[in-house]
Amino acid sequence: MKRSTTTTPDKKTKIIKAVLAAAFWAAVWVLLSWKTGQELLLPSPVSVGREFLSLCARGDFWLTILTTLGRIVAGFAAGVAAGTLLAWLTSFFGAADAILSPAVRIVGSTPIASFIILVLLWVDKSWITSFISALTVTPIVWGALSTAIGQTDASLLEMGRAYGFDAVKRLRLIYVPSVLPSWAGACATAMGMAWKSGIAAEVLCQPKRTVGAQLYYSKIYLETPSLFAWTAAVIILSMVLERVFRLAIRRASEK
Amino acid sequence: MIRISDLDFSYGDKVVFESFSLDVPSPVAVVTGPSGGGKTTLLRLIAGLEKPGRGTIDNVPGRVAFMFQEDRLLPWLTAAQNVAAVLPRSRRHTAGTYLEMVELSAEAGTKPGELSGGQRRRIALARALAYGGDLLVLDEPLKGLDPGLTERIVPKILTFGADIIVTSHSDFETKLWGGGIVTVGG
Repeated sequence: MKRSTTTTPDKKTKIIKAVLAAAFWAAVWVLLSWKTGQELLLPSPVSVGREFLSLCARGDFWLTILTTLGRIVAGFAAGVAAGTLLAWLTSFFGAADAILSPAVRIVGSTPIASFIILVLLWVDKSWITSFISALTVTPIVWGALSTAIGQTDASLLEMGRAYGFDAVKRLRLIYVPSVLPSWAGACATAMGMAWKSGIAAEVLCQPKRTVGAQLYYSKIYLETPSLFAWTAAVIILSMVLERVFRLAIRRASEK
Repeated sequence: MIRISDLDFSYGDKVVFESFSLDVPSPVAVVTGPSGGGKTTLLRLIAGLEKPGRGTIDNVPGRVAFMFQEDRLLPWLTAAQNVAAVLPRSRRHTAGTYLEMVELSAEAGTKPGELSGGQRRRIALARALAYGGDLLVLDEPLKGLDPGLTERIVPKILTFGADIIVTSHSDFETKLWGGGIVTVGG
């Protein structure tokens, strides 16, 4: 069957709404920047755009982006793996729940800044982005997945027992499809958090050739347009990655 | 013959059976009685899905196929996949045979959410038949089916070779099954 490529009225309305909202906020930005009249406090969209384009033309910009991107994605993947594994363990094994759940809850409630400072004492600066991203992602994925596992339809589980499903079959046919939407939603939320915490860690520790370090230098050299341009790069990357992740999950669940 | 002796069962404070004894007719037993009278509970006790407070249930075959009162289909699987889910790997390709029995071959690739209540009921029935065993315990298997379809499907189940315990809500269905009648809660 061929997929339709025409834009549906609903999609058109959505696009128009998004463009109008963007135009509104761009106008507010222009107005505020014009009213402030100081590039140092609030640069105009034009100067930020110019700065962003000039950054894009530099090779070291892409190298910096790739370094941070790689570290955050690695931390995110490790956090998702850890959170997923912990959720299954704490949901099915009482002893694991008693030992691990309080620890994960404490990690989830501890301010990120405390961890960043503490972790800086333990590991090399180059590891901090991944480490903090993983530490942020783990409790989010664990919490959402644990709840979803607990809410799996009891009547389907009883059906599985009545038809002699073994543990693997119960997992594959009942648990995994039941929890997949919650898990994917948690991962998408966690991805945004991984960016925020990872960049915050880089700003505080300034590892070489990272976005966070660039944001820090922009701040101390009072290069506000550059600060905005780097922030824009982070926002774009975060949105693209989240989109790619959701698309990959949708494709996987369709299969 | 399944023998129930001196059975007590209750859901919290609600007593369903008290000193209940019964020799379940075979090969076909049709369980009738008013709603809430304990038909489903009796079937669940026989299938081992509930444990009695007191008493015994003897001579229950080892492998029991239980069709629940609700469809309990896996919504993310197609009709054929739902049936195949209870089959061993080597027999999964036979799922279509059971769908054919309940006249649902055309819907093999359709997911339960896109089917009517009666069609979902038939998938659940096909799944119980596919699981097979020595005893088929069917809780309202014909709910929502038109009389013509019911008349065509019941004889196919009866030729299956397994003992059958089935709940029925109408004289028409009870006659079609043609077995010994057990009335509970009446």
